[in-house]
Amino acid sequence: MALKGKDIITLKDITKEDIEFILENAEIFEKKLKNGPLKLLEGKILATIFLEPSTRTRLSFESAMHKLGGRVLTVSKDEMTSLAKGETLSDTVRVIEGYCDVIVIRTPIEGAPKMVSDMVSVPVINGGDGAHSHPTQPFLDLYTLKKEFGKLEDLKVAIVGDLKYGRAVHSLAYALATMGTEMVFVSPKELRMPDSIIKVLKNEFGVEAEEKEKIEDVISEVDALYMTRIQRERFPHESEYEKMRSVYKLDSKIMKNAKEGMKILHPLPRVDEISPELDATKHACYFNQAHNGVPVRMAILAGVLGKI
Amino acid sequence: MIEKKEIKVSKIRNGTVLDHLNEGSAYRVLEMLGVDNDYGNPVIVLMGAESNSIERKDVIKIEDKFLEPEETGMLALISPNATISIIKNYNVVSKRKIGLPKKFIGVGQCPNPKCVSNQNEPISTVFNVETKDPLILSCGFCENVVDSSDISAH
Repeated sequence: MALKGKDIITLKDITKEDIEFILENAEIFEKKLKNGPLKLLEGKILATIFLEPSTRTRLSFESAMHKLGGRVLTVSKDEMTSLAKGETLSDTVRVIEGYCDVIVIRTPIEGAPKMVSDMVSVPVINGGDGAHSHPTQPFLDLYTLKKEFGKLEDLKVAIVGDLKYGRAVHSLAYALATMGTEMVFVSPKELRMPDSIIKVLKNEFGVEAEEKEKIEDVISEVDALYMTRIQRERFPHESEYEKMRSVYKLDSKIMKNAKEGMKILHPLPRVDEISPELDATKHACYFNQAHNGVPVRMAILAGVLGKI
Repeated sequence: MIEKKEIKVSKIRNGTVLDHLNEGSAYRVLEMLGVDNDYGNPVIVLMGAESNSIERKDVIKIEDKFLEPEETGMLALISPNATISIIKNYNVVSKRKIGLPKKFIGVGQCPNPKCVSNQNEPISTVFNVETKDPLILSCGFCENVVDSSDISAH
Protein backbone atom coordinates (compact mmCIF):
# COMPACT_ATOMS: atom_id res chain seq x y z
CA MET A 1 0.00 0.00 0.00
CA ALA A 2 3.09 2.16 -0.23
CA LEU A 3 1.79 4.27 -3.11
CA LYS A 4 -1.88 4.51 -2.12
CA GLY A 5 -3.36 7.89 -3.04
CA LYS A 6 0.00 9.23 -4.23
CA ASP A 7 0.28 11.52 -7.24
CA ILE A 8 3.08 10.71 -9.68
CA ILE A 9 4.07 14.16 -10.94
CA THR A 10 7.85 14.42 -10.97
CA LEU A 11 10.64 11.97 -10.28
CA LYS A 12 11.88 14.25 -7.53
CA ASP A 13 8.93 13.13 -5.34
CA ILE A 14 9.73 9.44 -5.82
CA THR A 15 11.85 7.57 -3.32
CA LYS A 16 14.11 4.61 -3.88
CA GLU A 17 11.55 2.51 -2.00
CA ASP A 18 8.79 3.65 -4.40
CA ILE A 19 10.91 2.63 -7.39
CA GLU A 20 11.74 -0.77 -5.88
CA PHE A 21 8.07 -1.29 -5.00
CA ILE A 22 6.97 -0.58 -8.58
CA LEU A 23 9.69 -2.73 -10.16
CA GLU A 24 8.93 -5.69 -7.88
CA ASN A 25 5.20 -5.51 -8.52
CA ALA A 26 5.70 -5.05 -12.28
CA GLU A 27 7.62 -8.33 -12.26
CA ILE A 28 4.82 -10.06 -10.34
CA PHE A 29 2.19 -8.72 -12.76
CA GLU A 30 4.20 -9.76 -15.80
CA LYS A 31 4.32 -13.35 -14.46
CA LYS A 32 0.64 -13.37 -13.51
CA LEU A 33 -0.39 -12.09 -16.95
CA LYS A 34 0.82 -15.33 -18.49
CA ASN A 35 -2.35 -16.89 -17.05
CA GLY A 36 -4.60 -14.22 -18.56
CA PRO A 37 -6.04 -10.84 -17.49
CA LEU A 38 -6.55 -9.99 -13.81
CA LYS A 39 -9.50 -8.59 -11.89
CA LEU A 40 -7.67 -6.49 -9.34
CA LEU A 41 -9.09 -3.16 -10.53
CA GLU A 42 -12.56 -4.38 -11.43
CA GLY A 43 -15.04 -1.53 -10.97
CA LYS A 44 -12.32 1.14 -11.17
CA ILE A 45 -12.19 3.75 -13.94
CA LEU A 46 -9.11 5.45 -15.39
CA ALA A 47 -9.53 8.76 -17.24
CA THR A 48 -6.77 9.51 -19.74
CA ILE A 49 -6.65 13.20 -20.66
CA PHE A 50 -4.29 13.59 -23.61
CA LEU A 51 -3.91 17.15 -24.85
CA GLU A 52 -0.85 16.28 -26.93
CA PRO A 53 -0.42 13.36 -29.33
CA SER A 54 0.89 10.12 -27.83
CA THR A 55 0.62 6.50 -28.81
CA ARG A 56 2.76 4.51 -26.42
CA THR A 57 2.04 6.23 -23.15
CA ARG A 58 -1.73 6.38 -23.63
CA LEU A 59 -2.08 2.88 -25.08
CA SER A 60 0.15 1.24 -22.49
CA PHE A 61 -1.77 2.89 -19.62
CA GLU A 62 -5.06 1.86 -21.22
CA SER A 63 -3.80 -1.66 -21.86
CA ALA A 64 -2.55 -1.87 -18.25
CA MET A 65 -5.96 -0.79 -16.92
CA HIS A 66 -7.81 -3.30 -19.12
CA LYS A 67 -5.47 -6.12 -18.10
CA LEU A 68 -6.25 -5.33 -14.45
CA GLY A 69 -9.98 -5.58 -15.10
CA GLY A 70 -10.61 -1.83 -14.94
CA ARG A 71 -12.25 0.47 -17.47
CA VAL A 72 -10.98 3.49 -19.32
CA LEU A 73 -12.47 6.84 -20.31
CA THR A 74 -10.32 8.71 -22.78
CA VAL A 75 -10.33 12.35 -23.77
CA SER A 76 -8.15 13.72 -26.56
CA LYS A 77 -7.50 17.33 -27.45
CA ASP A 78 -10.02 17.31 -30.29
CA GLU A 79 -12.70 16.05 -27.95
CA MET A 80 -12.02 18.61 -25.24
CA THR A 81 -14.71 20.96 -26.46
CA SER A 82 -14.90 22.57 -23.03
CA LEU A 83 -11.33 23.85 -23.34
CA ALA A 84 -12.05 25.11 -26.86
CA LYS A 85 -15.00 27.01 -25.42
CA GLY A 86 -12.62 28.76 -23.06
CA GLU A 87 -13.10 26.68 -19.91
CA THR A 88 -10.00 26.48 -17.76
CA LEU A 89 -8.24 23.14 -17.34
CA SER A 90 -8.87 23.44 -13.59
CA ASP A 91 -12.64 23.47 -14.12
CA THR A 92 -12.48 20.66 -16.66
CA VAL A 93 -10.57 18.31 -14.36
CA ARG A 94 -12.78 19.09 -11.39
CA VAL A 95 -15.66 17.79 -13.48
CA ILE A 96 -13.77 14.75 -14.81
CA GLU A 97 -12.66 13.64 -11.32
CA GLY A 98 -16.30 12.85 -10.60
CA TYR A 99 -16.29 10.31 -13.43
CA CYS A 100 -13.18 8.33 -12.51
CA ASP A 101 -10.90 6.89 -9.81
CA VAL A 102 -7.53 7.90 -11.28
CA ILE A 103 -6.35 10.38 -13.94
CA VAL A 104 -3.43 10.19 -16.37
CA ILE A 105 -2.75 13.52 -18.05
CA ARG A 106 -0.44 14.55 -20.89
CA THR A 107 -0.21 18.21 -21.83
CA PRO A 108 2.24 20.64 -23.45
CA ILE A 109 1.66 23.01 -20.52
CA GLU A 110 4.52 22.55 -18.04
CA GLY A 111 3.43 22.09 -14.44
CA ALA A 112 -0.22 21.46 -15.40
CA PRO A 113 -0.26 17.94 -13.86
CA LYS A 114 0.91 19.46 -10.56
CA MET A 115 -1.91 22.00 -10.72
CA VAL A 116 -4.42 19.25 -11.51
CA SER A 117 -3.18 17.15 -8.59
CA ASP A 118 -3.74 20.14 -6.28
CA MET A 119 -7.30 20.54 -7.61
CA VAL A 120 -8.67 17.00 -7.50
CA SER A 121 -8.84 14.30 -4.84
CA VAL A 122 -8.23 11.26 -7.08
CA PRO A 123 -4.59 10.27 -7.78
CA VAL A 124 -3.03 12.05 -10.77
CA ILE A 125 -0.28 10.55 -12.92
CA ASN A 126 1.78 12.80 -15.17
CA GLY A 127 1.92 11.26 -18.65
CA GLY A 128 4.32 13.99 -19.82
CA ASP A 129 4.13 17.79 -19.54
CA GLY A 130 6.09 19.72 -22.16
CA ALA A 131 9.84 19.67 -21.56
CA HIS A 132 9.31 19.30 -17.80
CA SER A 133 8.81 15.69 -16.83
CA HIS A 134 7.62 12.25 -17.90
CA PRO A 135 7.98 10.36 -14.64
CA THR A 136 6.55 6.97 -15.61
CA GLN A 137 8.94 6.46 -18.55
CA PRO A 138 12.01 5.93 -16.34
CA PHE A 139 10.20 3.19 -14.40
CA LEU A 140 9.98 1.10 -17.54
CA ASP A 141 13.55 2.03 -18.49
CA LEU A 142 14.76 0.84 -15.07
CA TYR A 143 12.56 -2.24 -15.27
CA THR A 144 14.09 -3.09 -18.65
CA LEU A 145 17.65 -2.64 -17.33
CA LYS A 146 16.86 -4.74 -14.26
CA LYS A 147 15.36 -7.50 -16.42
CA GLU A 148 18.38 -7.52 -18.73
CA PHE A 149 21.14 -7.27 -16.12
CA GLY A 150 19.46 -8.49 -12.92
CA LYS A 151 20.67 -5.37 -11.11
CA LEU A 152 20.86 -1.57 -11.33
CA GLU A 153 23.95 -0.95 -9.25
CA ASP A 154 27.40 -1.48 -10.76
CA LEU A 155 26.10 -0.62 -14.21
CA LYS A 156 27.29 2.18 -16.44
CA VAL A 157 24.69 3.73 -18.73
CA ALA A 158 25.34 6.33 -21.43
CA ILE A 159 22.42 8.66 -22.11
CA VAL A 160 22.73 9.90 -25.67
CA GLY A 161 21.07 12.62 -27.75
CA ASP A 162 19.02 15.67 -26.89
CA LEU A 163 19.66 16.00 -23.19
CA LYS A 164 18.52 19.62 -23.13
CA TYR A 165 14.91 19.37 -24.28
CA GLY A 166 14.30 15.65 -23.65
CA ARG A 167 12.06 15.42 -20.61
CA ALA A 168 12.36 11.63 -20.38
CA VAL A 169 16.13 11.84 -19.93
CA HIS A 170 15.78 14.40 -17.15
CA SER A 171 13.52 12.03 -15.22
CA LEU A 172 15.75 9.08 -16.13
CA ALA A 173 18.86 10.81 -14.77
CA TYR A 174 17.16 11.35 -11.39
CA ALA A 175 15.92 7.75 -11.35
CA LEU A 176 19.32 6.25 -12.20
CA ALA A 177 20.97 8.49 -9.61
CA THR A 178 18.43 7.30 -7.01
CA MET A 179 19.24 3.68 -7.78
CA GLY A 180 23.02 4.17 -7.78
CA THR A 181 23.61 3.52 -11.50
CA GLU A 182 26.64 5.22 -13.01
CA MET A 183 25.89 7.61 -15.90
CA VAL A 184 27.71 9.32 -18.72
CA PHE A 185 25.99 12.00 -20.81
CA VAL A 186 26.63 12.14 -24.56
CA SER A 187 25.28 15.12 -26.49
CA PRO A 188 26.28 17.95 -28.80
CA LYS A 189 27.39 21.02 -26.82
CA GLU A 190 24.19 22.84 -27.76
CA LEU A 191 22.00 20.08 -26.34
CA ARG A 192 23.84 19.20 -23.14
CA MET A 193 22.12 18.31 -19.90
CA PRO A 194 20.84 21.55 -18.26
CA ASP A 195 23.04 22.92 -15.47
CA SER A 196 20.06 22.92 -13.11
CA ILE A 197 19.84 19.12 -13.40
CA ILE A 198 23.59 18.59 -13.15
CA LYS A 199 23.50 20.67 -9.97
CA VAL A 200 20.68 18.63 -8.41
CA LEU A 201 22.46 15.39 -9.31
CA LYS A 202 25.60 16.65 -7.62
CA ASN A 203 24.05 18.28 -4.56
CA GLU A 204 21.27 15.82 -3.78
CA PHE A 205 22.68 12.53 -5.06
CA GLY A 206 26.44 13.16 -4.98
CA VAL A 207 26.59 12.12 -8.63
CA GLU A 208 29.04 13.72 -11.04
CA ALA A 209 28.35 12.31 -14.49
CA GLU A 210 30.95 12.64 -17.23
CA GLU A 211 29.94 14.57 -20.33
CA LYS A 212 31.06 13.54 -23.83
CA GLU A 213 30.19 14.51 -27.38
CA LYS A 214 30.73 11.24 -29.27
CA ILE A 215 29.27 7.76 -28.83
CA GLU A 216 32.64 6.38 -29.96
CA ASP A 217 34.20 7.82 -26.79
CA VAL A 218 32.04 5.69 -24.49
CA ILE A 219 30.93 2.66 -26.51
CA SER A 220 33.54 0.24 -25.20
CA GLU A 221 33.01 1.01 -21.51
CA VAL A 222 29.22 1.14 -21.03
CA ASP A 223 26.75 -1.63 -20.21
CA ALA A 224 23.87 0.13 -21.90
CA LEU A 225 23.32 2.93 -24.38
CA TYR A 226 20.13 4.89 -23.84
CA MET A 227 19.50 6.52 -27.22
CA THR A 228 16.98 9.34 -27.64
CA ARG A 229 15.39 11.09 -30.58
CA ILE A 230 16.23 14.69 -31.37
CA GLN A 231 12.68 16.03 -31.00
CA ARG A 232 11.58 18.49 -33.68
CA GLU A 233 8.69 19.82 -31.58
CA ARG A 234 10.98 20.97 -28.76
CA PHE A 235 13.18 23.24 -30.89
CA PRO A 236 12.34 26.94 -31.05
CA HIS A 237 13.66 27.15 -34.65
CA GLU A 238 13.47 24.65 -37.51
CA SER A 239 17.04 25.51 -38.61
CA GLU A 240 18.40 24.46 -35.20
CA TYR A 241 16.57 21.16 -35.51
CA GLU A 242 17.90 20.47 -39.01
CA LYS A 243 21.44 21.06 -37.78
CA MET A 244 21.04 18.53 -34.96
CA ARG A 245 18.68 15.86 -36.27
CA SER A 246 21.27 13.41 -37.62
CA VAL A 247 24.10 14.10 -35.24
CA TYR A 248 23.98 10.57 -33.78
CA LYS A 249 23.49 7.46 -35.84
CA LEU A 250 24.20 4.16 -34.18
CA ASP A 251 25.15 1.43 -36.67
CA SER A 252 27.02 -1.87 -36.81
CA LYS A 253 30.32 -0.07 -37.44
CA ILE A 254 30.19 1.83 -34.14
CA MET A 255 28.83 -1.25 -32.38
CA LYS A 256 31.98 -3.25 -33.20
CA ASN A 257 33.64 -1.81 -30.10
CA ALA A 258 30.70 -2.50 -27.79
CA LYS A 259 30.83 -4.97 -24.90
CA GLU A 260 29.44 -8.40 -25.67
CA GLY A 261 26.38 -7.98 -23.46
CA MET A 262 25.81 -4.28 -24.12
CA LYS A 263 22.14 -3.33 -24.52
CA ILE A 264 20.58 -0.52 -26.55
CA LEU A 265 17.51 1.17 -25.11
CA HIS A 266 15.34 3.87 -26.70
CA PRO A 267 12.03 5.34 -25.48
CA LEU A 268 10.81 5.36 -29.14
CA PRO A 269 9.75 6.62 -31.60
CA ARG A 270 13.14 6.66 -33.30
CA VAL A 271 13.93 8.64 -36.43
CA ASP A 272 17.38 7.70 -37.72
CA GLU A 273 19.47 7.47 -34.55
CA ILE A 274 19.46 3.64 -34.53
CA SER A 275 20.05 1.86 -37.81
CA PRO A 276 17.38 -0.86 -38.45
CA GLU A 277 20.24 -3.30 -39.14
CA LEU A 278 20.73 -3.47 -35.35
CA ASP A 279 17.12 -4.53 -34.65
CA ALA A 280 17.84 -8.24 -35.00
CA THR A 281 21.01 -8.18 -32.88
CA LYS A 282 21.21 -9.31 -29.25
CA HIS A 283 21.98 -5.73 -28.29
CA ALA A 284 18.59 -4.33 -29.36
CA CYS A 285 16.26 -3.99 -26.42
CA TYR A 286 13.95 -1.13 -27.38
CA PHE A 287 10.86 -3.04 -28.47
CA ASN A 288 10.90 -5.14 -25.31
CA GLN A 289 11.35 -1.90 -23.42
CA ALA A 290 8.13 -0.49 -24.95
CA HIS A 291 6.27 -3.71 -24.08
CA ASN A 292 7.50 -3.44 -20.50
CA GLY A 293 5.36 -0.29 -20.25
CA VAL A 294 2.32 -2.46 -19.60
CA PRO A 295 3.38 -4.38 -16.44
CA VAL A 296 5.11 -1.28 -15.09
CA ARG A 297 2.01 0.88 -15.55
CA MET A 298 -0.12 -1.90 -14.06
CA ALA A 299 2.03 -1.65 -10.94
CA ILE A 300 1.69 2.15 -10.90
CA LEU A 301 -2.11 2.10 -11.33
CA ALA A 302 -2.65 -0.67 -8.79
CA GLY A 303 -0.22 1.11 -6.46
CA VAL A 304 -1.87 4.54 -6.44
CA LEU A 305 -5.30 2.90 -6.14
CA GLY A 306 -4.10 1.05 -3.04
CA LYS A 307 -4.61 -2.46 -4.40
CA ILE A 308 -1.06 -3.72 -3.89
CA MET B 1 35.46 55.45 23.83
CA ILE B 2 34.70 54.01 20.45
CA GLU B 3 33.24 56.56 18.15
CA LYS B 4 29.95 55.34 16.74
CA LYS B 5 29.31 56.42 13.18
CA GLU B 6 25.80 57.73 12.96
CA ILE B 7 23.90 58.70 9.90
CA LYS B 8 22.11 61.97 10.25
CA VAL B 9 18.85 61.71 8.41
CA SER B 10 15.72 63.48 9.46
CA LYS B 11 13.06 61.44 11.18
CA ILE B 12 9.61 61.02 9.78
CA ARG B 13 6.52 61.81 11.79
CA ASN B 14 4.19 59.14 10.46
CA GLY B 15 4.93 56.39 7.96
CA THR B 16 7.22 53.44 7.29
CA VAL B 17 10.97 52.97 7.58
CA LEU B 18 12.52 50.17 5.53
CA ASP B 19 15.94 49.48 7.01
CA HIS B 20 18.73 46.97 6.27
CA LEU B 21 17.88 46.85 2.58
CA ASN B 22 20.60 45.28 0.45
CA GLU B 23 22.91 47.94 -0.91
CA GLY B 24 21.73 49.19 -4.29
CA SER B 25 18.22 47.78 -3.95
CA ALA B 26 16.42 50.98 -2.92
CA TYR B 27 15.12 51.93 -6.36
CA ARG B 28 13.84 48.42 -7.07
CA VAL B 29 12.09 48.41 -3.70
CA LEU B 30 10.42 51.75 -4.45
CA GLU B 31 9.36 50.47 -7.85
CA MET B 32 7.96 47.32 -6.25
CA LEU B 33 6.01 49.40 -3.74
CA GLY B 34 4.69 51.65 -6.50
CA VAL B 35 6.21 54.75 -4.90
CA ASP B 36 7.28 57.19 -7.62
CA ASN B 37 7.38 60.91 -8.44
CA ASP B 38 3.61 61.15 -8.16
CA TYR B 39 3.55 59.88 -4.58
CA GLY B 40 2.98 63.35 -3.14
CA ASN B 41 4.57 62.93 0.31
CA PRO B 42 8.23 63.09 1.28
CA VAL B 43 10.35 60.00 0.63
CA ILE B 44 13.88 59.78 2.03
CA VAL B 45 16.29 57.41 0.27
CA LEU B 46 19.68 56.68 1.78
CA MET B 47 22.02 54.51 -0.28
CA GLY B 48 25.22 52.78 0.74
CA ALA B 49 24.96 53.62 4.44
CA GLU B 50 27.28 51.84 6.86
CA SER B 51 25.67 49.07 8.85
CA ASN B 52 26.67 46.74 11.66
CA SER B 53 24.81 43.68 10.43
CA ILE B 54 25.38 43.90 6.70
CA GLU B 55 28.31 45.51 4.93
CA ARG B 56 26.42 48.47 3.54
CA LYS B 57 22.74 49.06 3.35
CA ASP B 58 20.05 51.19 1.82
CA VAL B 59 17.31 52.81 3.91
CA ILE B 60 13.99 54.20 2.76
CA LYS B 61 11.64 56.35 4.81
CA ILE B 62 8.20 56.98 3.41
CA GLU B 63 6.03 59.61 4.99
CA ASP B 64 2.33 58.81 5.47
CA LYS B 65 2.49 55.27 4.11
CA PHE B 66 1.87 52.35 6.48
CA LEU B 67 2.98 49.18 4.71
CA GLU B 68 0.93 46.07 5.41
CA PRO B 69 2.61 42.60 5.35
CA GLU B 70 0.81 41.68 2.11
CA GLU B 71 2.41 44.68 0.38
CA THR B 72 5.92 43.57 1.30
CA GLY B 73 5.81 39.88 0.28
CA MET B 74 8.09 40.49 -2.68
CA LEU B 75 10.60 42.39 -0.55
CA ALA B 76 12.13 39.10 0.61
CA LEU B 77 13.11 38.43 -3.01
CA ILE B 78 15.04 41.68 -3.25
CA SER B 79 16.21 42.17 0.31
CA PRO B 80 15.62 39.28 2.72
CA ASN B 81 17.41 41.03 5.61
CA ALA B 82 15.12 44.06 5.56
CA THR B 83 13.27 45.34 8.62
CA ILE B 84 10.08 47.34 8.48
CA SER B 85 9.16 49.85 11.18
CA ILE B 86 5.85 51.63 11.38
CA ILE B 87 6.21 55.14 12.79
CA LYS B 88 3.44 57.12 14.47
CA ASN B 89 4.09 60.55 15.94
CA TYR B 90 7.89 59.99 15.67
CA ASN B 91 7.69 56.72 17.66
CA VAL B 92 8.20 53.17 16.42
CA VAL B 93 4.89 51.45 17.05
CA SER B 94 5.76 48.15 15.36
CA LYS B 95 8.82 46.56 13.86
CA ARG B 96 9.09 43.38 11.85
CA LYS B 97 11.77 41.46 10.01
CA ILE B 98 11.10 40.37 6.47
CA GLY B 99 12.96 37.04 6.66
CA LEU B 100 13.06 34.38 3.99
CA PRO B 101 10.09 32.02 3.78
CA LYS B 102 10.48 28.41 2.57
CA LYS B 103 8.25 29.25 -0.34
CA PHE B 104 6.81 32.35 -1.97
CA ILE B 105 3.12 32.16 -2.81
CA GLY B 106 1.38 34.64 -5.09
CA VAL B 107 4.56 36.65 -5.56
CA GLY B 108 6.36 37.29 -8.86
CA GLN B 109 5.90 35.51 -12.16
CA CYS B 110 7.54 32.40 -13.61
CA PRO B 111 9.71 33.38 -16.60
CA ASN B 112 8.79 30.14 -18.41
CA PRO B 113 6.02 31.09 -20.90
CA LYS B 114 4.91 27.45 -21.10
CA CYS B 115 4.38 27.21 -17.34
CA VAL B 116 0.83 26.56 -16.19
CA SER B 117 1.09 29.58 -13.88
CA ASN B 118 1.27 31.78 -17.00
CA GLN B 119 -1.90 30.38 -18.52
CA ASN B 120 -5.38 31.49 -17.71
CA GLU B 121 -5.77 29.21 -14.70
CA PRO B 122 -7.05 30.42 -11.31
CA ILE B 123 -3.84 29.65 -9.41
CA SER B 124 -1.23 31.63 -7.51
CA THR B 125 2.43 31.38 -8.39
CA VAL B 126 4.53 29.22 -6.05
CA PHE B 127 8.32 29.41 -5.76
CA ASN B 128 10.31 27.11 -3.50
CA VAL B 129 13.56 28.41 -2.03
CA GLU B 130 16.39 26.16 -3.26
CA THR B 131 19.35 28.08 -1.87
CA LYS B 132 19.42 31.20 0.31
CA ASP B 133 22.69 32.75 -0.74
CA PRO B 134 22.54 33.34 -3.65
CA LEU B 135 18.76 33.28 -3.57
CA ILE B 136 17.78 30.59 -6.07
CA LEU B 137 14.17 29.50 -6.43
CA SER B 138 12.31 26.83 -8.35
CA CYS B 139 8.81 27.16 -9.73
CA GLY B 140 6.38 25.02 -7.74
CA PHE B 141 4.70 23.94 -10.98
CA CYS B 142 7.20 23.60 -13.84
CA GLU B 143 10.28 23.32 -11.52
CA ASN B 144 12.12 25.88 -13.65
CA VAL B 145 15.13 27.01 -11.59
CA VAL B 146 15.32 30.80 -11.42
CA ASP B 147 17.33 33.55 -9.88
CA SER B 148 15.24 35.78 -7.60
CA SER B 149 15.64 38.73 -10.00
CA ASP B 150 14.12 36.63 -12.84
CA ILE B 151 10.76 36.45 -11.14
CA SER B 152 10.64 39.86 -9.51
CA ALA B 153 11.51 41.56 -12.80
CA HIS B 154 8.21 40.45 -14.29
